[in-house]
Amino acid sequence: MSGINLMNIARGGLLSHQTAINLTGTNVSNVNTPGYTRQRAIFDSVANLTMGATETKTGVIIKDIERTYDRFLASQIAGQVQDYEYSKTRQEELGRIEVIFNDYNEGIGQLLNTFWNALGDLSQNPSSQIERVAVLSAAQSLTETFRSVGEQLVNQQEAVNSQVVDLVREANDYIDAIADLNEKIMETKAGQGNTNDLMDKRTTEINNLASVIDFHYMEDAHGAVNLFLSDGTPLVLGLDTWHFKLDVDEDNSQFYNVSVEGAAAETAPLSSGKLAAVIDIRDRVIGGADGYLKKLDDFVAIFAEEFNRVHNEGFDMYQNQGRDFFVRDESLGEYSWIRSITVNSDIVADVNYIAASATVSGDGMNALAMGALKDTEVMLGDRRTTINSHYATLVAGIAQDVADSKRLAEHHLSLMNQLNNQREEVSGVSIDEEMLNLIKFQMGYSASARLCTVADEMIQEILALSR
Amino acid sequence: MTMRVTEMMRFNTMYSHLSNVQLRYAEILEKMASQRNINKISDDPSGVASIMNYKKEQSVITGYQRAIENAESWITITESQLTSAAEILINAREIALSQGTGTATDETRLYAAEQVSQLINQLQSIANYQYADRYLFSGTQTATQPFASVASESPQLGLPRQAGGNAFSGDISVDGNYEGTDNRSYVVKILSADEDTGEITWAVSSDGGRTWGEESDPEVLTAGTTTVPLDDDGGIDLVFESVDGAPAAGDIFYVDAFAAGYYKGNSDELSVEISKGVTFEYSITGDSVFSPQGGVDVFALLNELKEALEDDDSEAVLGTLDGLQRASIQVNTAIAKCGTRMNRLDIAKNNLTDLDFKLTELVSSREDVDISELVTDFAMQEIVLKATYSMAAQMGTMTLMDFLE
Repeated sequence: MSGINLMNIARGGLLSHQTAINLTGTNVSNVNTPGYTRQRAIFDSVANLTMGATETKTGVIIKDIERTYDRFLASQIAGQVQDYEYSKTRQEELGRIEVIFNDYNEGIGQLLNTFWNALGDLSQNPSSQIERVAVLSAAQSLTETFRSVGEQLVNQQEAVNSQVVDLVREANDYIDAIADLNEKIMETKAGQGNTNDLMDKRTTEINNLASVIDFHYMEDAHGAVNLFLSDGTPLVLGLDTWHFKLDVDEDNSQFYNVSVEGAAAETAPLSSGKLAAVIDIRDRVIGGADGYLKKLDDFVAIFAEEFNRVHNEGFDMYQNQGRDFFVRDESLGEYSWIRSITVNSDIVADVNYIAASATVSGDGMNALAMGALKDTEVMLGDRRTTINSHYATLVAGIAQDVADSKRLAEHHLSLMNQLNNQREEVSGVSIDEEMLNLIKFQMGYSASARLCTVADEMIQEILALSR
Repeated sequence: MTMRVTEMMRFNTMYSHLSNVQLRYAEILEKMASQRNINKISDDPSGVASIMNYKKEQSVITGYQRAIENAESWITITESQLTSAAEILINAREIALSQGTGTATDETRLYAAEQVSQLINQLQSIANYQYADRYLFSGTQTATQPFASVASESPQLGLPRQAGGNAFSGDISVDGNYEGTDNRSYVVKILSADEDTGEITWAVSSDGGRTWGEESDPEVLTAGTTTVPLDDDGGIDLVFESVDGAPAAGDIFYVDAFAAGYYKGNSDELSVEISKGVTFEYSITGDSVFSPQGGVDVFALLNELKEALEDDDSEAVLGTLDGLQRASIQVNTAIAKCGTRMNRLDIAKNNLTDLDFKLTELVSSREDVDISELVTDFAMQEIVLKATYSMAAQMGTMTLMDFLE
């Protein structure tokens, strides 16, 4: 009897250690799997066998396979992923905008200077065709650059808008995946199965979703996680999902607003994650009442209008009063100055239409007055400043935004790294630890095997007795 | 629970540190290669603004310097022409002195008259001298020949003209007499033109279009009767004789009015900007040197001398001496003016050169790298990078596994 019993105990030991060694193997092979949570076998002695007064343990089993996991840390990481991805996306997009302005040595500022100087030259020799053509070509380079900057910003805005579409699709995929995993986890739990692997997968999906949008989540009693936006709009409740949808913007048919199916809010309250970042870049950094396009357009408008005002006061070579020097395509609507400023086609066709003279006598005094605009302070927004200095301030403002976004992204990256390290400290795989476990479990396994031999010998001896 | 150190932690930490070190290293390399502190505007936002403002100042200074150079050559030419003019006046005075005495005969006077006539021609060509296709002495009307060969006895009005882009077609004339003592241009600008009623309003300028009078009452344009009073007294009118095409807003009509005498230019001096907000007048107008506006009507005086010589009138010849003396002073004053103007330009030029130098320094201090500092940084980062590499290479070479059989 005891021999057979011993055999059973040995069998339990062998199986348990086998499992533990397998788990160690899983841990070791997943040492580089992102999001993997190490697993530990929990050994437990089993069922007491009462024989008279003595009580005997009858072996070991693996009671549970534990996922070493810090729930609080996981939600902290999800939050940090949102902030990090938001700041990183902003930094990337602003970096692309920065490129447009990086040629501060040759760009608009310098072209303005060339233009002012060409006007100065013209004022000294107002009847010279060479000086007139020089003014025209300086003005054309300037308007071309204005338009190109406007065009690049608009393109950037459109590129960002198309990201909104992709990101919404991505977020919806993650929402589906999470609901799907919820279902599997609830089923597995109900069937007393092991959900560790599924939980890891779900945590990964939650972090994926966190990279796109910001949300809160909590786990319910059945093992499902429920996801809510910051205003309480549900995204996932158990098996049910609410998707993001794209609505065409009323003011701009090319732009999409993001809302949640069935939610009261017209636009989803997003403040973090990639999606919020691209919307922010599209609607507030490039577009919007304080956006770069508006600021640049205001700048070009005041430059062109001031210049036209002075130009119109003068007389051209045919003794006509000056016509508008800079024109735009007003049908473009918003930002039409920066997107469509050109030199009046009459002047392009005949430079004698440049009104360089202050009188009908063909002097150069109006060219001097136009050139003097370089020092004239104009009112832009709430600041009085010269045209050049205003542009410099604009560029410096953009540069500051880029620099700030870089700093913020770096800050969030280091927080992210710290949290990841904390997570790895708890849940990550340590090879040394696993090796020690391996030795330990191998020893246990060998010992259990030894037990088998002993039990076998014991049984053989008993059998020999009966022979 | 004691602190666990897992493989991921070690590698992640190494990744982020290595990429940080490499980033700093790359930044230094970029600065080394470009020799510039600011390679992206976000490297130094406020520096970018300062540099752009400095560069604008520099470019403006270049413009001022070019303007000053132009003005200087203009003044130099003016001065040399005026010096020749002064010599002509001295010659004329010598002739007047010698021919005013009793020793001169009618023959010598006739000969001298011929000489004076030559002097007048020379002075004409000086007064009408063109530099770079522009008349030196015609004020701001550098395309107009400043001195006519024959003086007009009384103030005159030119023919009325209209701008090339006018909608109006038809005949215009000017009615009345000009009585002013300066040359000016009257300009009429159509401010509004109603196609249905035929009513027009206009504004008049008596200074070539620089300043405008008030808008007129609307008036229906009728050929032959509609007149636009050009001066305040109502002495001069522009008359629309016939109307083939109705005028439109912005149409310009103008009439030049000349004072009596030889001068056809205006009294405005050419000016340039030589520093912020400072315009500098550099040309000498012909009327201030050769016309009654400057004191002596030089051409009239020389003609007077010539006629006196031809008439063999010694008293009249001597009578021009005082005038010739004053004319010389008049021309010499203009020469002196050229000199002081050159001085002012020199001072302005030196200031600008100093300023330019300082601005170059300022730009450089923000934009250019400090090589010695950069090289030190570079060496330091290289050491850090090497150390990081060697650490990375040794990572994971030692685990418990090395000691297991």
